[in-house]
Amino acid sequence: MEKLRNSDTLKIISYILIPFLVLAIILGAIYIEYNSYNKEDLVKGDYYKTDSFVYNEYYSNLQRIFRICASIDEGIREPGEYYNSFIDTYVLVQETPTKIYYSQNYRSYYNGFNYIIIDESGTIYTNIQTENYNTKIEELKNSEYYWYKENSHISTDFEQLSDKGLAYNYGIENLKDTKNNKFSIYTAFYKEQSAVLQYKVNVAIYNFIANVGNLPVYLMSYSILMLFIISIYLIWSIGHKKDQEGIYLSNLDKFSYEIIFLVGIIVIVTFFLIGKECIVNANIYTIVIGFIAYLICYIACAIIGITTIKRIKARKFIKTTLTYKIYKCIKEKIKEISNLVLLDKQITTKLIIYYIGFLLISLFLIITTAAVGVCLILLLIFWSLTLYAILNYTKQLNNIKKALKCIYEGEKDIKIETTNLEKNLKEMAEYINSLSTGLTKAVEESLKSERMKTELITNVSHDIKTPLTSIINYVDLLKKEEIPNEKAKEYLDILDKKSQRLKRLTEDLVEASKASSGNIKLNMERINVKELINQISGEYEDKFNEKSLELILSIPKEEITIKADSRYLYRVIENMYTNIVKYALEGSRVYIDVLTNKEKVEIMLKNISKEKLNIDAKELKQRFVRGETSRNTEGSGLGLSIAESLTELQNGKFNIYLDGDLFKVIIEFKRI
Amino acid sequence: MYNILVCDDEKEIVNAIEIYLSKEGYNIIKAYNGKEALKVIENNEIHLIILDIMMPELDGISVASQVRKTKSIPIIMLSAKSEDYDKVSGLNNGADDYITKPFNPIELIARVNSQIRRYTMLGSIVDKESENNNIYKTGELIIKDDTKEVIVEEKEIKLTPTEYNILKFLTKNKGKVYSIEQIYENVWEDEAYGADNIIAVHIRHIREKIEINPKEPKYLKVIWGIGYKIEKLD
Repeated sequence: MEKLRNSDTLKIISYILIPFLVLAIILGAIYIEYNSYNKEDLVKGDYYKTDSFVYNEYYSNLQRIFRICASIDEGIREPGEYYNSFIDTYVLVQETPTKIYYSQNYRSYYNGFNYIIIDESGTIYTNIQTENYNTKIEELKNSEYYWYKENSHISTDFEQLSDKGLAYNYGIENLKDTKNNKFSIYTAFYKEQSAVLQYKVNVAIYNFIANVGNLPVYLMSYSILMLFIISIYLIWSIGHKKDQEGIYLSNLDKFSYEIIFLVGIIVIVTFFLIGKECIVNANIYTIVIGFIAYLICYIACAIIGITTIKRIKARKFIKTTLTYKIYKCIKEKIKEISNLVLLDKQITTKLIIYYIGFLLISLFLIITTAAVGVCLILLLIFWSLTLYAILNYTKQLNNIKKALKCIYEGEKDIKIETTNLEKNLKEMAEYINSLSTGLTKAVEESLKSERMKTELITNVSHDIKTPLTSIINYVDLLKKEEIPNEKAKEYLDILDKKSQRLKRLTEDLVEASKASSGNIKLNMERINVKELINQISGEYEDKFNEKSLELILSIPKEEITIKADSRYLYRVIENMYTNIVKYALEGSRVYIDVLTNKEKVEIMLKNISKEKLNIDAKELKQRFVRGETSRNTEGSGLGLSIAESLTELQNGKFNIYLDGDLFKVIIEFKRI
Repeated sequence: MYNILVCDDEKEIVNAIEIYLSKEGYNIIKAYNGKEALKVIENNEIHLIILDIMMPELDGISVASQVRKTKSIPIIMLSAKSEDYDKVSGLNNGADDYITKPFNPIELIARVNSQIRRYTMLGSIVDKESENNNIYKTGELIIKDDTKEVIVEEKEIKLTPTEYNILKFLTKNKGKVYSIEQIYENVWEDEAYGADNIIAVHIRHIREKIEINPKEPKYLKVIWGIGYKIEKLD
């Protein structure tokens, strides 16, 4: 059931089906109408013999002929183009050897209606152009649908238009009595000539109805039933979506209902009228346009329908109407204003009192101005003073705003001059002043503490270095003494190593603290990466050889330069090389690649770790952290932290990747 | 017999220095604060002063500037302060050299020897010789191209032919920075194809041979990411 409700496919099918069902219902209705009025016609089996054709089309054309006959009497004989008000068209009169008056009555011609009128003198009035009119007359007389009057005698195959028929249907008792008597009239209808689609459609409908019998009625009934079921389904399922609780509302569904409805109605009416016009003036192009117009109508209808149903189902119909929104907005504004008035009585009552005072004084001055002219000047002065007071207040407010902006932008020591301020503003300014003082203090303190931290570390390291110097020196001296005891020599070795390590540790500590607090002066210059890597590789070649590490360098041939501090960048890379010497597996290969594109340069160092790396990359960069098992070896554990800080100080990026025993460092800089 | 004044408030450090320098044949006079040091200088003929900075009574910087007013005795600062700023201020206030604690005894001895030599050498034959086209020199680094000799601070240094050529090229053009490629092209007179780090290895070897402390070279400087140069020291 839920699946049925959420199915998009089913909904789309429904939407597509609806116009066809509506079409079927309309066709059914048309059929029923035809069926009821034209039952007799149906039996005859030819549309062009039906009452509707004869009465509506053929006779109306005949009437034109009668009018033309009447207008001939009015004496249009000279060649030229005339407007004939009787037949509401331009008539072209041509002087030809046989005096032929050719009427360019297109409509009747393209309707398939042809006529030839001959008066007593043998002058011809016609809408057909031909060489031999006698042959043409014979042709008209013998055509399928004809009507002619020769010597006051009417011949036709339309019963309705025979002498009798005319008298019966139109009250024309005797054509002989009319002026038409002087003319012989020949008319005929050629259905092949007819270019008006209405006829063809009519013929098609006619043939269709004659053939299908009662099928359209059934079709219509089923369509109505189907439409009903689809409507129920859509009403039930609209707004439900897969994986969506309740009714799904799009932005459109939240938009003001009235506006959508109004726009929708305008669209529907406009396109309906366009469609209708197109279908009536039918040819194949207008039919297509008409069809599209109706489609747009349908889509607009569907959109309005869907959004209406969704809103009602979500119980948000009223809330989404514009009226409700306006109502709510006004309600809130009123609430806001009343809150303001009620809460901050001090400022608002003052303002209200000022305003009332202003009004009263103005009113008084205006009234008296009528009596005493001088008061006009007083009024103007009073208004200027009020304007000045308002401007002054705004100026003070602006100053406070400026000060706030300065604080927001990080400026310290902002003081607003409070002596000349209005009472409320003064209070505000004093708050801001004390806020600014507090902020300045806080910033200073944090800077001071950072500075003190570095200073402390530097000082402590000095104090450690002095005794350390003695230790190292005396250990060195002791080593030069003759010591017969082998164990003592061993112990001395340990002392030597550890004191050297302590020395390095203190040096690294200072550097790490400076690097992480940014307490370093950088001298940025162009550095050639290729040169740097080659230089350092040369420095470390012996150390690599000692540990049987094979260095594989891959550096592009092109010139690669970056902006960095020569010494500190060296420190970063050197740290990495030292790490490799310390921690890489002996006899393994070390890869150092310089990768580059137009924007950046990456120095990638890869080696296989000697020990298992049971730690993640992020942790490894922290101070004093080393791979667990390497804790007992040389090194301070600050190397990576220093390298990272120094890299970042030089606007680079420092990243470590661990993958099993593969230790990878990527140092990235912007290329210049 | 040269007299060296060692002044530090840590007695043990002073004693250790005494042991090292006595072995080299110097006479050591000890002082434990700035005032004492000044008194010693007044009353004795001193050839070199090793001075700590952080001392009670009078600090090393003040002592150095005081001494400089009247005397040109070489001063080596020996301090735990290792910041660039400290070194610069020490050297600007009259020190001739600056060694940071904890120091390497061998380095200290070498630097002391170097300063004593400079101070006591009266005139120089080398200066006259250097007018000759086949002698290149900077500071106390002398290359005699005729005999292929390299002398640093009066000691002859043994270099391989390649190392010699590189050093000669750089000394000839002292003060100028050359990249690995440029050095390769100039010394081998060949396209620098695949020069890679061979030059860097040679340079390190040269540094290890001619410098007192290869990590803080005096003559053959490394400018990381740019190249190498021989410092102009005249």
